[in-house]
Amino acid sequence: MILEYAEKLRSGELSSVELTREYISRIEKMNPKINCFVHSCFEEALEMAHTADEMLASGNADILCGIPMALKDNICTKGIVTDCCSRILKDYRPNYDATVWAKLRSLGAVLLGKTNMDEFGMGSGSVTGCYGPVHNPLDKNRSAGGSSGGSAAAVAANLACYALGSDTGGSVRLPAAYCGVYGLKPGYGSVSRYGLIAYGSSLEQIGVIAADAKDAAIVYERMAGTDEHDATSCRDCLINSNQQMHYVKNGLSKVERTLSVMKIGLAPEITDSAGPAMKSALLNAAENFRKAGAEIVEVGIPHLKEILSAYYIIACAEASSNLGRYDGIRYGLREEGADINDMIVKTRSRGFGSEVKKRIMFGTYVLSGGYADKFYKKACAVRETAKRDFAAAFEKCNMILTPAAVGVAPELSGFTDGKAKNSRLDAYLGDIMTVPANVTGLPAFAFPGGCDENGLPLGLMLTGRKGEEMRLMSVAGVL
Amino acid sequence: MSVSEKEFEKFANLAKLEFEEAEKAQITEELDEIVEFARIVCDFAEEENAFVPGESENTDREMSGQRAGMTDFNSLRTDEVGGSLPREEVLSNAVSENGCFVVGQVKL
Repeated sequence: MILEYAEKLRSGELSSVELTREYISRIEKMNPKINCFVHSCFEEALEMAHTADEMLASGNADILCGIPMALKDNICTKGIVTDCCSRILKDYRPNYDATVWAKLRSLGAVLLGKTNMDEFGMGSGSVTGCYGPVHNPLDKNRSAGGSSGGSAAAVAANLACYALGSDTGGSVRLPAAYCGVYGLKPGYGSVSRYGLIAYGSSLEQIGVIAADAKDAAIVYERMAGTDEHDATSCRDCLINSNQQMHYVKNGLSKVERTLSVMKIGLAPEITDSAGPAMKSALLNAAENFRKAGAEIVEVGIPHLKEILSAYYIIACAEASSNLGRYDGIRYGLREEGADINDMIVKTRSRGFGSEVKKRIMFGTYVLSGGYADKFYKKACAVRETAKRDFAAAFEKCNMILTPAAVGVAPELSGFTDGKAKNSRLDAYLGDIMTVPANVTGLPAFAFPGGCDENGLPLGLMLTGRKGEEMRLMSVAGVL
Repeated sequence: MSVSEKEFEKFANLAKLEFEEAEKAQITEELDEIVEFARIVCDFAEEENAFVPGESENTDREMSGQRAGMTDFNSLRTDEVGGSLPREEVLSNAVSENGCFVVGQVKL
C-alpha cells in the first residue's frame, strides 16, 4: 500500500493533501463504529500534508513522505494530546516528540491522530482504557486485541496506511493477529523507546502495524537505530537491517532461494495451547514453507509456563515503579486533598483504572520485603533460562513459527461481562504465545495465516534471533 | 487466601492507592489468583536458578550471531550540563502559580 501511494504522490497523480483529506473523511465516517482513534489532529495533519507536498515537489522525498499514519496514544507527540487512555494523564500535551515520531515526521509522514489502547498498555483487548473498547473492524462484536487495538483496527479498516504501537507482552502482535494485519515487535534495543510512556521498560518496544510485510519493513527500516536519548538502543541494528534489506528489495524469488537453506522450528510447548483451527493454520503454513524449500524441525522451549509467570512478575514490578511518577503535581489529573500525601493518594486512586491499580498492587507485592527474593529475583532467573532456551532452539533452526494467539478475536462481551466467560487469569494465560519474545528481547513478526470457518483471521508469528527483523518480515512475506 | 487484609492495606499504602470496599474485594480476589499463578516461579528448580551477572549479554550476543556484528549500546553518555525546557513549558501541564508548581501543605 505504501509503495502504491508513494508512486502516485511522486508522479503527481495524487497530492498528500488529497490523500489526507480522503483518510480524514474515512475516519469521520467509520471511527464512531470502531472507536480506534481517540484524539484526531486533522488540522495538523493537513499542515503536515502541505509540507509533504512541498518536499515531494522538490523531488527528493522519502517513500513515507505524504503518507497518512497513526500513533498509539502512549507515543509522545509535541503539543498533541498523549494520555495513554488514562484519566490520570487527561489532556497531557507532551513538550517533546518521541524519537520514532521525530524520525518519521522529518521524512514527511502525516499524523492523522492517536489511537485507542488499554490504559497504559495494560490489557489484551483494548477495553481497559477510559475511552471505551475498540471494535474489531472485521466483526464489531469482537475485540481488536490489545493493547495496540486502536492501531491495528485503524490499519485493518484502512483508516491509516500504517500505525505504530508498543509491545510489552504481545500488544502489537496480538491485535495484528485479531485484525488480520501484520505486526512487528522489534528486538529489544532495535528501536528507541525515548518518548514511549513507560510501562515495563525492560520488556517493551515500539512496533509497526501494517497492511503487508513490505510496508512493515519500510517503516521499520526508518524507525530503527541508536538514539542518544535511549541508552538501551542498539548501535548496529540499522547496519544489520540494511544487510537484510535485500530480501525485501529483491522480491520473493530471492527469499525463496534463501528458504532452501533455512530451518524453521516448530515448538510443541507453545503450539499445544492453541485451538484446532489455529493448529491447522500453523501446520498449513509450515507445509507452505516446506514447499518453498525450508526444512521444518522441532525445537523445545521447556520453561514456557515459568516464562509467562515471570513475565507478569517483571512487567508488574516495573509498572509499579514506572507509574510512581503520577502524583498530580507536574502533569495530568489532580484531586485536591487535605495535604500533599492525601492529594497524591486521591489523584492516583481516582486517576488509574481498576486493571492498572491491580497491576501496581501486584508489582508492589512482588517487590516488597520478604517477597522480592521469592518472586522478583526468581523471575529474573527464569528470564536468563528463557534466553538459554531460545539460544538452544536457534542452534537447531533459524526462526520459530508459532501461533500469534490462542485463537481468533474473542467477543467483547467476554471482557465486559467480567467473570461471565473468562476469568482475568484466563486473559493473562492467553498471552502465552507472545510474551516469550518480550522476556527474551527477541524480534517477532505476526502475520495472517488464514481464516477460521467464520472468516475470522488466524494470526501466526515468526520469532528470530536479535537483529533479524528484516529476515522475519521477508520470510513471512512468502506466505 | 494469598493476600491478607493487613497485607493488602500495607501494599496499598506503599503504592499510594486507596480502594472502596467493593473494589477492594474484587482486586483482592484477582490478586489472589495472580499470586497463585506467579508461584510457578517459586518452584523453579534451584539448580536452574543460577543467575550469572553478565550472562544475559553473552547469551544475547550468541543469539544475535557474532557475524551480525551487533553490540549493545548500553554505555552511559557523558555527564554534561545541557539545555533544558523553558519554565513555561515545564509548567504547561501542571497546576502552577507565579511560575512555580502548586503543591499541598506537608503534614508530618
